[in-house]
Amino acid sequence: MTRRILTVWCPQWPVVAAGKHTEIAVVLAANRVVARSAAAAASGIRVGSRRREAQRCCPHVVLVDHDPDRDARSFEPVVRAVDAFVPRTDVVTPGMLCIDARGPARYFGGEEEMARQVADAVERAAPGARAVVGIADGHFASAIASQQATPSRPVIVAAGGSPAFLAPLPVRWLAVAAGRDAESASGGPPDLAELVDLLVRLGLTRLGAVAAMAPRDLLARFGSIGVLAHRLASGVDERPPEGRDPPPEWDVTQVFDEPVMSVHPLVFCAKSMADRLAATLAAGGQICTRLLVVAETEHGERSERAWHLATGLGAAAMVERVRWQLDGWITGTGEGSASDEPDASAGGAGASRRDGISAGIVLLRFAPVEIRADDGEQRGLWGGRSDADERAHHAITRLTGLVGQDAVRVPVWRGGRLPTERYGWVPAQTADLDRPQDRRRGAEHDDAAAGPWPGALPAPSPPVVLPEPLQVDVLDANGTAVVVSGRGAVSAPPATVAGRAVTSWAGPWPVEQRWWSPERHRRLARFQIVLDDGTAQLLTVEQQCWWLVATYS
Amino acid sequence: MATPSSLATIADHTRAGVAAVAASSLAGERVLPVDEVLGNLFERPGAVGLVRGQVVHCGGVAPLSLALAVAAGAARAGAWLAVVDIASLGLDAAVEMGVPLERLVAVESGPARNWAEVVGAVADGFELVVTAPPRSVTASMARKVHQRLRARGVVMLMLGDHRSAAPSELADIELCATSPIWDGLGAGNGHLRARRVTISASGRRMPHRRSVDVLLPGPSGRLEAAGGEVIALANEDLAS
Repeated sequence: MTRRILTVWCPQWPVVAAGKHTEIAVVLAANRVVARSAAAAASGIRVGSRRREAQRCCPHVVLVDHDPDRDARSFEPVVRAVDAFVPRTDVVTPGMLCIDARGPARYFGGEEEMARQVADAVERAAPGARAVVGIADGHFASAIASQQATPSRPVIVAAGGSPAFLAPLPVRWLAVAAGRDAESASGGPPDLAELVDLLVRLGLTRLGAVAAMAPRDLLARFGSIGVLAHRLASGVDERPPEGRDPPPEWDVTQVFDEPVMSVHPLVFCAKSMADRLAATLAAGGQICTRLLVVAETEHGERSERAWHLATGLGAAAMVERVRWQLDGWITGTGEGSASDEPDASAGGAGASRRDGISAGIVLLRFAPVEIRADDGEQRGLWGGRSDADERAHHAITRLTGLVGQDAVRVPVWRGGRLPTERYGWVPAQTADLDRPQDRRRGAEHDDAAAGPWPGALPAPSPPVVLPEPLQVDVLDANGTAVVVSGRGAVSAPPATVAGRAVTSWAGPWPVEQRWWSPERHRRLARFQIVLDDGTAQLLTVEQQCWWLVATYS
Repeated sequence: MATPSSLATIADHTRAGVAAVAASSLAGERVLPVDEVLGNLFERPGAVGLVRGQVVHCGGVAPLSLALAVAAGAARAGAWLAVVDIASLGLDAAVEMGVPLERLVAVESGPARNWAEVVGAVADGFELVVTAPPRSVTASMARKVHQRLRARGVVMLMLGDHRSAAPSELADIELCATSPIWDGLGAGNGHLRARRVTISASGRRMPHRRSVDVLLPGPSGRLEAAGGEVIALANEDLAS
C-alpha cells in the first residue's frame, strides 16, 4: 500500500539561502545558473544558462557562488518547523522535504488544513521562501503535486488518485523527479533524461502511456531504468513492494570517549562509518534509500534526521548529509542566510532558535531505515564522469575551502608567442570541470586566441617558466654587455650569462606585439642559450635589458 | 574541542577503513602506468609501473621534465594530477610531454605550515602529486604526509630542488638525470631540438642502480628513447 506523502518544496532555495531572494540575483555553480530569484526570472534569466547569458539579460544581476553547505544550514529552521508537526521528516535535499501525511492530517483536521499550517510554519521559519505544498500517494506524485502548487493553494491529490493525476502529464516530469536530487553528490540516474528523450521519440509522450506498457517490455527494452520509469509513471512509489526492513545489526554506531565539539573530525569519522555501512550494504546486494542519522551530546541533546534519496545513498552522499545536519546543529542555525533577518515569530511553530549545542557530541549513529536491492549503475564506457573524476571534484572543493578560491586553479589556453602568455590560470571553482574542451587549445570562441601564432618558438617548450622574469647580465668575450640593435643584429656573440660560460646559442628572434596600442606595445627579442653546465635557458632582450624568462629544466 | 583520545579513535577508524580498502584492491590496481620508455626503471616482479603510495624523488639536471614525463603516462590513463606549490610550471611543456591539462590542477599552499595539510587533502582525490616540499617542512611532518599518501595510494613526485634536504630520505625511488647533451643549437643558429640525458634509478628495494638513456625532451617535446640514429643526428648537428 502506498503511503500518503506531503512534500514541502521551497523553489529556488539556493537564492533564499543566500538571502538574495528580494534582489535580482542568481546562484552559480561551475559558471552556470542553478537558481535565480523571482526578479531575475522576470528579466529572462533561466536556470542552466551561463553566467554571461545571465549578465546579458540583466547587467546588474547579483552573482552568488553556490554553497551546498549554506543551503543545508539555512534549511535547518525549515526542517525544525516541520518537525513540530510530525515525528519524522525526510529531507530529500536542501529545499525539499517530505513527511508522512496520514496520521497528522487527521489530527490537524484534514489534509488541506494541515498543508496550510505547514506552509505557514515554513514561511515563518524562512521568510521569503514561498514554500509550496503538495499531498499525494507516493513520493513521486507528491513531489509533482508540490511543484504544481502555489504558495496560497496547495495541490492535494485524492487517495488512490495518483495514477489518474499523473497520466495526462508529459513524460519529461520523470526527469524533473530525478532532477530534484540531481544537484547532490550522488546525483539522480543520469540516463533518465536520455530515457525521457527516447520515450518522446517513440511516441510515448504522456506518463499514462508509459504506465500502460507492460513492465516486462520496458525491462526488456530499457533495463532497470525502464522499470523505474514505469513504477514512477503508474503512481506506485519508487520503493519496490518487496523492500524489507534492514536488520538492526547493520546500524553503525560510534561512541566518543571524549566529547567532540567541531564538525571536521566528526565528518572525518562519519566518512569511515559511511564506508563501513556502504560495504555492509553492498555485501548484501542492497542500497540504502533512507538513512537515519542520530547525534547525541553529553548533555543529552539529540539531533535525529532521516535522509531520503530515491536513487540510493552512496557513502559520499551519506557523509555530505551528515555534514549538512551537523553544520546546522552544532553551529546553531544559518550564518549569512535568510534566517539572519530578525524574525520575532520564529518561535511560533516550536522552532525555538538555539545557539548551537551546549556540550560535545558523544554519539553518532547511522541506521539504514529503508533499503532495496541494488540494481547497479553502469559507468560510461567513453566520456562521462569516471570515479576518479568524482573524487577529484570533491577534493577540489575541499582544497578551495582550505586555501581559498584563488589558490586552486586550472589552466586555460589563451594563446600567444611568449611562454608566459600562452596559458592562463582560472580558479577551479569557476571553471566547468565537466566541459574541459572549453579550456583546451583551439576551443576558444575568439578566433584571435585560437591561433595560429607565427613566430612562437617550436617544440620543445621550457618546463620552468618564471612567473616574474629575472634580470641577468649577458656579456661578450671581452666582458662588455651584449646589445641587440633595432634591426635585430647582435653586437657580439654572448660568452657568459650571469657568470656562466655559454657553449651554444641562437637568436635573436624578434617579436613586436600590439604596435597599434601605446600601452600594450611590446618589442623584444628572444635567445636560446645552453650553458656549460648543460642547462638551457630562454632569454629575452627588452628595453636594453636581458631577462631570464624560462629554463629548460 | 576534540581531545587527543577522541582524535586517536578517529585516526584508528580511518586507518582501519583505509586498510580494508587497500586490502580489497587488486594487484593490477596497485600500479599506475608509466611511459614504456621508462618501463625498465619501474620494472618489478609481476608488474611494470608506478606503485601506488610511493614517493619518487626526481633530481639531477631536469627535475621538472622528469616529473612531468613520469606523470604523463598515468595521467593519460585517467589519473588526476595535482601540482602543489610550483608556480613556475610551463604548461606548454606539460602538454608536449603528454599531460592532459583537463586533469591538471595547481594548488598553492600559502604558508609552509599548510603544505602538509594541503598535500593531505590532495591525497583524498588525486592519484598523482607533483610538489617540492618547502624547506621548513620537518622530517616528521614529511613522514606523516608520506603515511597518508601510502594509505590513499597516491604517488608523490618530489622535485629534487636542493631547497630541502630532509624529505628526500623518504623517497622510495630516486630518479636522477645526468650528463645532459642538448642538440640543435649552434653558435648563433638552429634552435633547441632535443636533450639526451641518462636517467638512473635507485631505491630502497632496488638491489642495484638501473639506468636508461632517453631524449628528455625529444624533438616533439615528448619523452623518447635515445636510439642510435638520434646520436648520429646529434653528431652531424654538432659538426655543422
